[in-house]
Amino acid sequence: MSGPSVEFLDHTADLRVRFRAPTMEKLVETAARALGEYLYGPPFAGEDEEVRAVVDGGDGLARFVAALNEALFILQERRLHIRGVFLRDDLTNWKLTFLTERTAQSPSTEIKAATYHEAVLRREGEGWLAEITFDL
Amino acid sequence: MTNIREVAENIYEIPREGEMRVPGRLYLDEALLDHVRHEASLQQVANVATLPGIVGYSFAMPDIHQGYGFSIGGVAAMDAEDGVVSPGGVGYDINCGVRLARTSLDYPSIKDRLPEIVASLYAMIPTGIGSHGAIPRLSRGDLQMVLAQGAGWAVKKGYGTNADLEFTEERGAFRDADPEGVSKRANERGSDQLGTLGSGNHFVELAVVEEIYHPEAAQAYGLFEGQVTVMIHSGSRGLGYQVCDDYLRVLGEAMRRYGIHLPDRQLACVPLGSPEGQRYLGAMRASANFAWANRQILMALAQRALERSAGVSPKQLGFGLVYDLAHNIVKFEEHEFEGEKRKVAVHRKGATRAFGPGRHEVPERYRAVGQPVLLPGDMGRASYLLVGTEKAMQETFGSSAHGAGRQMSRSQALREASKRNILAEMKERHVEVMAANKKTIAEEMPEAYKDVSAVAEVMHRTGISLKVARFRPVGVIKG
Repeated sequence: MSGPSVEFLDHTADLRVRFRAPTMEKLVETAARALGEYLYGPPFAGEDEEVRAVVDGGDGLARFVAALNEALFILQERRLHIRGVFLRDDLTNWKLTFLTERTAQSPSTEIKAATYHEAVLRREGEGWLAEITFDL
Repeated sequence: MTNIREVAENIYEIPREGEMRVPGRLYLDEALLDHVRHEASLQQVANVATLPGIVGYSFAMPDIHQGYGFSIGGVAAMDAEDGVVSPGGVGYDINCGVRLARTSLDYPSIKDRLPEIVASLYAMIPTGIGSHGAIPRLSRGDLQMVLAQGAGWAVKKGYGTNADLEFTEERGAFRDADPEGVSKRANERGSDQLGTLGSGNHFVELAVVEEIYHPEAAQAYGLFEGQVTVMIHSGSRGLGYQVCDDYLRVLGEAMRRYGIHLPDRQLACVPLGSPEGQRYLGAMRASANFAWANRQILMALAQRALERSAGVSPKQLGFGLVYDLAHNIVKFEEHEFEGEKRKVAVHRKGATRAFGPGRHEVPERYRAVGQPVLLPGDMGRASYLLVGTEKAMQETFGSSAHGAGRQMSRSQALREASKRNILAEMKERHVEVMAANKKTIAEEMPEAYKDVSAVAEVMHRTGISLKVARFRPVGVIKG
């Protein structure tokens, strides 16, 4: 498994993205950072702020989608750019810590949500692959 | 999908097979069918046909395009006793919808002032992502009132008049909304977004009535050729997105208990009468009320902007609502199906109610002709107003198309636009455009959408809704 990667796939109305990473923690981080860059461009070295969230219930895919919706909330509503993610898997829930920095920019577009539509989350070799459709 | 067969002019069917409980029915011409033949949207129509309690057909209107779960342009009626409710059949932007307001102004009287008028609209109406500031952040108490009272709350606060409510679907509020079913986070997201347009394909458009096809309906709606109108497209903003997300998770877990298995998790659904279904419906209605209040406020802001920038009095402006309708919603309605009266929950995802003459839900002033059906197009070509028909009542549970429908992905539109100056092209077409950023203008370029005239023609030829008037955009603000 090489390093994390992000690939934008074709979709008529919305946004479909394929993420790859060696671990689940890195997969969430890769996706959260990619969403931030899609909305704001690359992060600047701003003032650090940690945001904690818990996603629970459902299976791994449900938690992954929920984690991305947490990331979107942080990015768009709190106007924080995400630089990193720590994930602790407590079997029934994921405890997430988002490392963020405040941004003065306005997002260039709006992502309403990460959806479950044809959502994919699976092992690929030693790592993980996810494909998610985002509603714009 | 290859097994599609034509059953009448501009009507195609996806035969029932596999887990499908009913066939799919598509209202398309050949060119529109070619646009979607290799897209996922037709499979989405077939997936919706697997939902428990679906009655008749899984429908696709001519503006169908790939969505998530349901296609955009999808309609499904679920039996009120045996059927399910699916948040994916409503979408994230609950009660996204359109309203059309008329003025007494004609185009020549504002033509030279258009840049100022559009600038005034842009200054008055907050646009873009997470925009706020139209009205101060709402207290929890006020927000609860908005969620319960919808557009009526806005009117009480001085945004518009009681007459506007008469011409708003449901009079601008579901009476059985449940504000308590709206999560704390959804409340947080909505508290400073009332009276904001949002981003993407949401817009306020100044449009001129260019041609009238149905004089009787046009007269009932108060429209004449050359008249300046205002069209507003917006929804429930972050509050609605959060409600949809919250309940998709709840229903996704609950449906296993009801033994429901689906081809797509985004179609998550539960029985209409279940506690989870009832909670979603209550919260969905509260979000819909937020959207109606939002469009009511946006209309009042547009009126103020027009009065100031066009230098006219309220009387000279003659501002009045033609109609406001929802195109992302689920509603209980009574319809005749196979000779029997049936109560059904009609899911319209990117589709418009199109009730024909005589229905009590249609405002009294319009009841003899039928419900106005708004079909906004792209920012460069045209929009249409149609009228609902008895044929729609018989064939599509009183439903019609909602717009043009995208044909180009956003990345493709951005690539195309990078070689062109879209703003300059719009000026050449005599359309003044202002937007929060250039990316939006590129993504929303006219060619990114199908030609709405083709969509209107299919609805007209099949008799599902008849053309009343065509509009030409002359000024647009976008988020």
